[in-house]
Amino acid sequence: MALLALDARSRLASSSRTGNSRPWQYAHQARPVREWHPLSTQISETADRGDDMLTALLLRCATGDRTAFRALYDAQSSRLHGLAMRITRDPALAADATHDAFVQVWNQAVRFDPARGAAGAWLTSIVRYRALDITRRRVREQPGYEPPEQEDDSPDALARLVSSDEGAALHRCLGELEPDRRLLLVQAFTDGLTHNDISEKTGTPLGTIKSWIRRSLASLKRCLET
Amino acid sequence: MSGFQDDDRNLLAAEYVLGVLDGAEREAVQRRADEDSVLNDAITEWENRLSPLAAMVSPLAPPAGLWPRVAASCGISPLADQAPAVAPRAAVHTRARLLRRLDFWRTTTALGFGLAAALAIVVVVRNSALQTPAPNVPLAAAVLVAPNGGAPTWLASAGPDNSVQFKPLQHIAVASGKDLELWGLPDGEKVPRPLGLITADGRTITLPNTVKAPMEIMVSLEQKGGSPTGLPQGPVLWLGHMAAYAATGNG
Repeated sequence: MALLALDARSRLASSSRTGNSRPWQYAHQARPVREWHPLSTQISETADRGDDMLTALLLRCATGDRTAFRALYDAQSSRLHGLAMRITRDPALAADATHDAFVQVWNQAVRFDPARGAAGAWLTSIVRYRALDITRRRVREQPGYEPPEQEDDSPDALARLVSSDEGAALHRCLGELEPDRRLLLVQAFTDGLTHNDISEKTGTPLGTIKSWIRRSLASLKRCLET
Repeated sequence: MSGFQDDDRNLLAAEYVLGVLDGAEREAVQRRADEDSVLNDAITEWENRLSPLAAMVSPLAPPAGLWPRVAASCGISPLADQAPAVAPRAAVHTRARLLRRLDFWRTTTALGFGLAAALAIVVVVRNSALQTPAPNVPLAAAVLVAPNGGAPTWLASAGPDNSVQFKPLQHIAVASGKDLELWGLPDGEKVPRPLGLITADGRTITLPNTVKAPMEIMVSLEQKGGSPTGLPQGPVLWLGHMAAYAATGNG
């Protein structure tokens, strides 16, 4: 049993530096270490309970706990795979992105820091960046590659945001944007569209799109900070 | 003056997280954030701000073959996730089915109980170790188990002159290119102190004067030669609490 655990952790340790979705971000050694503890399961009291559960699982993954990793996979694989599929728009690429994301989660769980952000957001970022990187590479390697179109969200999809406190605040602030700009912003996030994609899709000059998005993001930030 | 720069950097972080940058731009941000902690923090902030948008995307079950692929890439057995490897196969299956039926809350609760059980094992075994009439009764002892429970793996017994003997309680194999490193975290302190490397067949160490029971003792898996930073870098594989030495001790 001990042998299994060691083999597993050593193998992943040797490959853990190859993850490429901003592994530097959560490196605990990059910050002053004052409160290190292997069982520091203190959880932000403001986070919702679903995220508490993910936080607990991630902290256990950081100790090499395979049961926690499997529970995390069962809990999050459909959510994360949905995100990967939406961005890559290709079942094989989506499976690659989801696979890579979970391998990265296992290898870098030790870098997850609940003080810096919610566990769900951490997982979301990992799979999105993997999917974005894979998709961008595909476009570069196959010029002219056009991922299949996909259906837009139903108008009530925005309502799903309200399920969490953070989502409700975001929903409120998105509501302050012009409807068409709001749609652009949301679609850019969910579909992983580049400035260029949006420009082509909407027939709007690239410069205009860039400034729309920047202005939308700036007003979103102002709204969320008040 | 720098206000513009900061705004610019913040919006770049926002664009990165939103996902509108092309491949080359993304890589440039990733490289820059490596050295620019302000940009790095801004990215984290935007991740927290925007991630609720992910709720708008419908979940999609991954293909059934994905978990075995993930498990293989992580070097773990696809079945070993549900129970200790020593459990009979049938038990593993039953437990797996059972766990799958549980919702998340119940799984979490189970993990909590696991941890509690692990602590209970520490207490029980420590007491029995102390009561064993041995020629050299240890001043204190700790049984180290995996953070998620499991069988006792190391017995740490405190002897005279600040010595602590570590004895493996089961077969341990260390992958080549790796070392096990010992750490002591005295109660009330926040930062573990390195106590040296330990081999799979055990070792007796001498505690530095700054490290005294009661304390948490941990073993982490580190690169060859141990952690270069003086803090655990790899996963903590086993840990246990060592109580204050008995009054007869010299500590």
